[in-house]
Amino acid sequence: MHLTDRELWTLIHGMGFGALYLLAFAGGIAGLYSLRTKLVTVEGIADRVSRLRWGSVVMAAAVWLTVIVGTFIVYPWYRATPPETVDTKAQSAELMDYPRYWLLASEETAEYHHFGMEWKEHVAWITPFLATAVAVGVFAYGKELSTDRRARFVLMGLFILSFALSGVAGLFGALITKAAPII
Amino acid sequence: MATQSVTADKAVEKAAGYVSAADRVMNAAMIASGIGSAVLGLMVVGAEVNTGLKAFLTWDKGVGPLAGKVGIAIIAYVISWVALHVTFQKQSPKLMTALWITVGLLIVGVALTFPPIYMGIASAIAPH
Repeated sequence: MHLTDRELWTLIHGMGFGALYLLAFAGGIAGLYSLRTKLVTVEGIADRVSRLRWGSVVMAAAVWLTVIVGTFIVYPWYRATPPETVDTKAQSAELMDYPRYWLLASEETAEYHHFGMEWKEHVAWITPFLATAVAVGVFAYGKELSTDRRARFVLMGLFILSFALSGVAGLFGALITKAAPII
Repeated sequence: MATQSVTADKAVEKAAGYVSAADRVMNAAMIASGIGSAVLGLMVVGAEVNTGLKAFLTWDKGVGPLAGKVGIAIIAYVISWVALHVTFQKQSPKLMTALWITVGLLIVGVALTFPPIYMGIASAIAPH
């Protein structure tokens, strides 16, 4: 088994930071939903708020790192231009080193770039803004979250939206990597 | 009894339009996230419509115009967050008003990053 540097960074981007954020979402949303005085004791609230604070910061950091690594390390490999000696009109073995051009070389795969990558590369950047707002909210409200239904509603709404958008980016990332892996 | 009294006090405060310190902090962070998203959407459309802007946004040859699009969005996000945070210490909208403002901005951001929409706008404004 051997991993190239490119494969390793792609894994760090998608299966490392990206998956960490998506998996941690379940814990975060459950923590916010159940943080109510009728469900948790006073000691329990203090413990849960502390865990939510750490969790929300880790999740925001994970999603920032996902988009930064994806955009500034992995993406340049995806969009690299092949030399003029490589034919960009046919999906050849040489063209596989240039995933964007490989996808565009066939009508059957071109939409992975035109729709999938074009949406993913942009919409993914909305998620760190939202995840940061959620983390700020968890710190600002603290134990108040257990009594303030509006604040819980707002934070859960932003959190779900952030998850949905990162899910879109993750889904297209997986499909594009399957069609044209970065190797 | 004490808990009931505190809850009743909070209900009176909310009914009177009182905005808590935590609400003010949240409102600024939340609306700034919407502004960052909307600016990102505008940059995506702008780069598609105007080749000069696309060239300007190419801050890094490897990343292409995406570097500038997200760079400008992050700058807008940070500046608006700081400005709103300071402004909202004096006067702030209610939490739910801030939420709907944010949702409106997010709709703009998500819509303008959706390829059929931004490419459609681009081809309508600049057919070639």
